[in-house]
Amino acid sequence: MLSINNIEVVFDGTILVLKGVTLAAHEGKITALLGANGAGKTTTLKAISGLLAAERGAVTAGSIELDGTRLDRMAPHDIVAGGVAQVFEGRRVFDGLSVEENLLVGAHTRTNLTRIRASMEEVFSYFPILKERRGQAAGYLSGGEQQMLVIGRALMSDPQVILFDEPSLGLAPLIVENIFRIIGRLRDEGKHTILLVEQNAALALAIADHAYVMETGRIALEGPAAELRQNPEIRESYLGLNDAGARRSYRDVKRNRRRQRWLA
Amino acid sequence: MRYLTRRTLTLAGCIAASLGAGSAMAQQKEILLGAQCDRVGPTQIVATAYCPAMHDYAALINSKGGIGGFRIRIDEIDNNYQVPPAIEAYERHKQMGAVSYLIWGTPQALALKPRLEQDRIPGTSPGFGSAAAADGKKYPYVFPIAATYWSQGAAAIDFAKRRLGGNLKGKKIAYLYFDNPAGLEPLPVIKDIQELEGFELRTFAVPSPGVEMGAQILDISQRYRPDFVIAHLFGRAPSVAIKDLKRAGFPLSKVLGLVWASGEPDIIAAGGFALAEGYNTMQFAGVGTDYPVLNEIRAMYQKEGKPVPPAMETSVYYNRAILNTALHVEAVRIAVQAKGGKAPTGEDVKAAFERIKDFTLGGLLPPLEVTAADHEGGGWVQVFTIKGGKFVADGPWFRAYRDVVQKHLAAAH
Amino acid sequence: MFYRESGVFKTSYAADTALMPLPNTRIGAALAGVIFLAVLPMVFGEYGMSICNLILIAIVGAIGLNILVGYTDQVSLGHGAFMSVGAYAAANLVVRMDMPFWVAIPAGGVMAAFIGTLVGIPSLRIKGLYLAITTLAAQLIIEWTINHVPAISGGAQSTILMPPPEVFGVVLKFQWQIYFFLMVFVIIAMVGAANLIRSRIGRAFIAIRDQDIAAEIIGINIARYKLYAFAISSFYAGVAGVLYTYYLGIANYEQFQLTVSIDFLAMIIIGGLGSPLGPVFGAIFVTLLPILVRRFLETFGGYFMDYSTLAATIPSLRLAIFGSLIIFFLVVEPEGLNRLWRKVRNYFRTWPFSY
Repeated sequence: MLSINNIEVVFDGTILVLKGVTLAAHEGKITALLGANGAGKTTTLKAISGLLAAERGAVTAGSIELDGTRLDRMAPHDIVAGGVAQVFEGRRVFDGLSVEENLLVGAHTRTNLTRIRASMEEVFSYFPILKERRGQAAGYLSGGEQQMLVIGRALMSDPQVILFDEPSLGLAPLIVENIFRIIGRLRDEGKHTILLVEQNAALALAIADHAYVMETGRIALEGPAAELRQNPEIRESYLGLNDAGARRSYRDVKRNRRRQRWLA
Repeated sequence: MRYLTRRTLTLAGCIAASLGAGSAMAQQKEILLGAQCDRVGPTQIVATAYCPAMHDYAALINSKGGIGGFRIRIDEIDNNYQVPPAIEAYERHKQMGAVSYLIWGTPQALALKPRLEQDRIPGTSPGFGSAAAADGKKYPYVFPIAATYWSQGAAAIDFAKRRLGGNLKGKKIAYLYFDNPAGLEPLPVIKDIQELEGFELRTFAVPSPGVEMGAQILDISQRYRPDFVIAHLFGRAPSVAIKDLKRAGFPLSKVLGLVWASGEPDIIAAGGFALAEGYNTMQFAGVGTDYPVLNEIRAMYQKEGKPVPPAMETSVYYNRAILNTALHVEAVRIAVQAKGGKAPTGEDVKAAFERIKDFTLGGLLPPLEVTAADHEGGGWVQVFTIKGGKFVADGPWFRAYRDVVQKHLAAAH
Repeated sequence: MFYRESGVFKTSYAADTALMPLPNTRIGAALAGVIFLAVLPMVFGEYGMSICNLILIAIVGAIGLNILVGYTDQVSLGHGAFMSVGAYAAANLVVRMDMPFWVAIPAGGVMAAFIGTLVGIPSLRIKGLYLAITTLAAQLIIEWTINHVPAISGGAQSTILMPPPEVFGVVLKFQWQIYFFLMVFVIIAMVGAANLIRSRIGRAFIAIRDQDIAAEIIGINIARYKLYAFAISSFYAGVAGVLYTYYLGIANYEQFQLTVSIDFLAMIIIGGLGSPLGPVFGAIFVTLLPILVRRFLETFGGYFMDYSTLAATIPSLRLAIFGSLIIFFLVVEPEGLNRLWRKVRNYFRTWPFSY
């Protein structure tokens, strides 16, 4: 179980970005983390994978634990070796390497070659298209293929926990659907613990088991996904639906914002 | 793509043709001297006057029928003051059959030393190169042939001593130098002489490229206030030093520039002869345009109906090149004579160099006496002072502290 | 030599990882081997061999810089200084302790790698042009140190005379002998670099180059691999410095100044950054082109002017032509000569039915 216990994140020693975030991601479950832009979702992921130092940020209070091991004091590469992989937003493939090499470099923390080969076959079983394109330079793949490659690359480190950051960003709906289907398979077949950050709340809530809603550095709401799907606040703010299931009028936006602030 | 290929092929063809045609030029009986130069690199300030002079002297000799029936041909390749092109140029000249070599640049002289020895081709490095090369036993095929940095340093102290009334005890001397190996080279000799003479010495390093030395000049003129300054600078640095010393109010008559801080271009770049009045310069070849050999070159140009080249105005560097080339030609002459009129090998020319004596071209050259042991020819220099807008000789050729220089030569590897 | 497979027919991982995947390539490599090992030394004289030798040494240095700049994207202006570190380390070992070349060459490389790693430490925090400035500072500091510490530089003129290498009792004096001597190291350097890039370490370098944050989140210790890149690159530089010293018979830091660092950068940029053959093409281009341009001018300039004028014109003209040719080739192929070579190869591969 990945658990975040009341962490604070401060940038540049002055800017408090996360103000006491607590959440838990359970084994074999998808935990979704929703929220508006700037709510602190990505920062939370970066805190888990240890990437804050590069941006002069630090976890100043609280703890991040994976099955009892403290992650918040570890270097990024040790965190990966410890079983946490992140799928970064924006499809950051290594353009100069071929598809196969991208996957191999994903297994950087591992040394057993036969097991690495096995992982690669597993990735190819999830994404058959990557097998077809294995010799091609990753820079020449389409956007969807690149997103698949990035997910495959994260799988190559044989992770226990996978952090997804906006996997739907900038992709065609058909491909997004496909990707989310695979995220579901990763939970069901691979028994991975998945923490999913997503702007598209409808999609995320459709697939997730449990969800958290963040607003301005705090957790505003949490609960089983099925429950949140029915929550009127969520329906209004994130799913864009009113009680009748029809689109809201702009006239009501003011009220909506007021209620949000009260929520926070 | 297709056009590019065709163009590339055409270009390659032209280059290939030029490679083939290059060798089909030599017809007359000639003796080849290889020469390097740096007309566009960091030492171009020297080369602009120096390199044309080599060809002028060769043309003069050839216009008089050459040496013993041989035409003197000087083939010049630019090394841009870098070592790899110098090696390539040397190998090319070796292949073309050069029997004698005019080196350009201290690092290049050092790099060519083992090759010259192996190929038995004598090379000259007048006023630069390694001071240890003056020892003909250890550097058999390298001829500094004019004062090395050690001899220059020793002579500079001697000059200061004369200027300061014949006694240096308790006097303060500043050594302002370019912070590279050549700049550092005279220091051990100067320090040894310091023990003999009992003067105070302080060194002021100017880092490359030597165009900024305000702090050093201020230190010299306001704090240390020496009785004499020896400036061992190169490239743009000498003119900056002259200008800055003048501005700081330091009397230039108490400053002596070693041989590469002593050309007309340095004075002009500093602000002209009027500004540099009193500045002393050390020379290893005569300065000025009034020497018989220079008159002959001018006459040669006039006979051909061509204007006299502007390079001759830069008499310091022009005359040095005349010295260097003339010594090569003289060595070739001795070698041809020794071989009874046959074309000499590099080995013959080397032996001939070691017999050069009483060859002064009417005072343009110092009274050199090159021997198998002494490839420097005595280490003579002359000081010219800027007076009334021109260089005026301050006494005859001289040398000093030879025992100290000899001691260092004996200890060198 | 130009033939390539028409699709992927590999059935085993061994076939997939082979350095030369096709029998034709292997024949091509063997043919190149024959040309370089037998034909060139027979055709060229000492002069031609001396140019080849300069190129061979430049190739070793350029391969090293390509690992750092081309594959890891860490700009270095200190390559020349690392070469001088190797040169002086080896020269001191050979002259003072009478070490053979097979000790001196790796030792020079290791020493340079050590200094290079120290110089690489700022790369952990800064990138790009900022890093270039710190390596520039390193270049100047190393030059100054050699110039001012007689224990390193051997005293007068910061120069150490280096005896020629001795292999199995034969003292290598002639250019063709040195050519074979150098060729051994060039082959080791090329094969070593090609394999390094295809290894775990090489992939990590490329990952850092392409996406340094993504590299970090897949578990690459960026700090360590940046320093590896500096160490390996400087090792190559050090070896090139030692080879240079053996070739010249002298260790002198003035041969490894900033202009040399810039020359090497020019080589890998013209050759093509981050390509295995790029440094080879670049080293050939930068070394050979000025020589060819001069020969060209010498030959055809003779028809227009007398020798004295020609001698005065050639250096400036050569600089101008050399500079324009660099611009020309980079405009025609911004990704360097290696890309040009691939285009030519692909053109013939499908010729005469291009499309």
